[in-house]
Amino acid sequence: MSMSSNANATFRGHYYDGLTALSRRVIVRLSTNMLVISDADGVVTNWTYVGLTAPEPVSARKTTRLAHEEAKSARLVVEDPLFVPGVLSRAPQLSRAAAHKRSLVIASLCFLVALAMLATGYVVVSVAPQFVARLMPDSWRTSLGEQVEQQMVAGTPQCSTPEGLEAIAALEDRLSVGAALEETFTIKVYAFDFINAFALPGGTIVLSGELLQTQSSADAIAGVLAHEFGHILERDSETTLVRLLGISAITEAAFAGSSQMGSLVGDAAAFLTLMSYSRDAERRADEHAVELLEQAQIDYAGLLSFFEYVNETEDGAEESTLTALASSHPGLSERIESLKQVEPWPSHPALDEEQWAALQAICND
Amino acid sequence: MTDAFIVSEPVTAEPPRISINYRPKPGLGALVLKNIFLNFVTLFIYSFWAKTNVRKHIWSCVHIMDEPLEYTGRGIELALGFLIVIGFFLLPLVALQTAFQIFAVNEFIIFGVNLLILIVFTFLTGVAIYRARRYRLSRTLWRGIRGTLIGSAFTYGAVRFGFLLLQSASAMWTHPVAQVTLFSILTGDMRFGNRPFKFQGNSGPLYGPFAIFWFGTLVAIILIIIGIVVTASTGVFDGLIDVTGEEDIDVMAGVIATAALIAVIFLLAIPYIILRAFYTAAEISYLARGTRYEDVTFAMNATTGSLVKLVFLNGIIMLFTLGLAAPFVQQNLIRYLCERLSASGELDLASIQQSQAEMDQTGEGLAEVFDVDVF
Repeated sequence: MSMSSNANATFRGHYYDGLTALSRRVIVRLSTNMLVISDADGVVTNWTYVGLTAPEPVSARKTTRLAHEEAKSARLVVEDPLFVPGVLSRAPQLSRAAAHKRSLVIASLCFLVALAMLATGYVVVSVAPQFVARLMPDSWRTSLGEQVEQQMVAGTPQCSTPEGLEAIAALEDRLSVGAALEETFTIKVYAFDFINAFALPGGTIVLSGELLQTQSSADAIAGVLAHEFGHILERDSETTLVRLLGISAITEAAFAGSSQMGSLVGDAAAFLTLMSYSRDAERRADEHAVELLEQAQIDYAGLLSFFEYVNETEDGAEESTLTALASSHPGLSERIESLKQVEPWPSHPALDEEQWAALQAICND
Repeated sequence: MTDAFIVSEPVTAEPPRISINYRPKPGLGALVLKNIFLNFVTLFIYSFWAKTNVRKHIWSCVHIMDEPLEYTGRGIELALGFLIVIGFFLLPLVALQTAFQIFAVNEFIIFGVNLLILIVFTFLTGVAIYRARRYRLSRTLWRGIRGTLIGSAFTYGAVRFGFLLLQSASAMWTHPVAQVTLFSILTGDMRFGNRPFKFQGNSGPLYGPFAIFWFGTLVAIILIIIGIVVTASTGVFDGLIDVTGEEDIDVMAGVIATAALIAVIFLLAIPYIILRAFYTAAEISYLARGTRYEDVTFAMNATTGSLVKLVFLNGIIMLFTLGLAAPFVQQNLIRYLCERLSASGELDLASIQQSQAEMDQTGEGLAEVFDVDVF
């Protein structure tokens, strides 16, 4: 029961001193400067209003429980609802509104940290990977490339008729001597039954047998190779690997211990981020391809015909391999258009007919 | 007159009955919604504070002798604990796996190292359980007094690891002895204030219920395999695998086959859950009976039916809310324990003094990363 609701009002309560589990009945007085807690023997303790804390916001609808920052385990319990307005007017930090405000501050700080993390994440997946990829020693690149190749090939036989290999060497000479490149490339053909070409870390290019079978000229293959050279010059595979690593480290850290929903979001984010980067990489590789083809005096129409072939087959048929190819080579129509804008240059065929026939038959061991 | 109700000495005559109640209060639903929103907006960084607020709510509903528990942990402690574990364990691990990739390390070495990591992490899971328990006890206040665990988390982790090995080698038959031993370690190390909890008991009485669980599950598996074989002979599963190799797949047959498969899984799950509940009821009742705190003894009225109901209810909540309503699952569990746990004897409150154990400054990082413990 309240003795008075004005200054120096007193209320009944009980007090745990935080030293033993005993409760003692006390009188609580709201003096001008502090909360005075007394029992029959006199003052038990004085709590400053500014140091008061409440495990739960103080409200007239429930028992008031108070603590003080200088006596962390001690608790004061007052059931009288008339105690509430008095204590709230002297210690507004105990109110529900103040608790909401603190909660809002915490949530805002979390939000800022999330933004900072996004910014860091952006650097880790956008700028940093290319930088790191360029610093990577050749031995690391080669080792990574060998592993990727091993996984990708998974027992598929390599195509290596001597005449076919000679034709490949001739193509490589045309492209790299013309451009006076400092890079070394290794071109390999595997008997994959789908159309694709990959640039691996360390300068290895893998062509599928099916690619050679389906194209109508060596110029198309030269175009594809020039495009893959572009990926290697840009260190795109290395960049992708570093980026994947960055993304996996970020998602690992961000979603470890949280719900499965979180990791799903993480995976989707990782995938989408990678996809959007491969668009840029493709555009740059095309630019390199045009440059290399011009220096090697090979007609870019070969590359154009390859793109158109992929585009048409994708539109006309539902071959899953081609859909997969197109999905990692986005914006094909746009790239075809920009290739059509290129000024033609004097050119001669990438390989003679005999070499081209040998290259097409490279898998016929 | 103010003096009229002041007694001359502290009240020591507490009622001899020790009541344990869960008194739900409104606000958990709103809290869950707020937490979901803020978790998404802050990329789950808020989750440490969300978890803390849920604990504060649930703890405050638990009343022992009409006095509520208070959770005093802070979100920042959980966040720091998590960061420390990320820094000391996860990032080095990512770096190590990267190095394996870059340097094309021999497969046997990778296998060896990964096996070692698996062993260390399995061991650390036990350490995590112990440390998380210690953190929560030290952040639980009742009548101004907090709890703690005074033993070694590493000892607990090592014993738990040993039992895990034995359990797989013994087709689960060491489970009761493992449970009793681990509970005995945790309880023996547990303090409320400066006074210890004690556990006395051995796994012997649990082997009867365990045998019923084990053989019951075996019989259920055998019956279900027979069931599948008999059902398959009717051709209902043919829709699952296109045995004919023909192009046009019968969609209806596929649906029926999938439904049949789900039915089989449920058929297996139901006897398992019932048998498991039967054993668990026996286990937790036995563990409660063997536990003492000073002169207070405990009893747990856990029954198979009530546990099955709890598991189904919580399962449905988790399933239909994709785990977002997990705090209600926690509440149901704590409520179950409070409603069915009873304590008798006299508690000498004056003899219980504040724990002098050092408080962990950060909390539960390991448990967070290894995803152990519901709370």
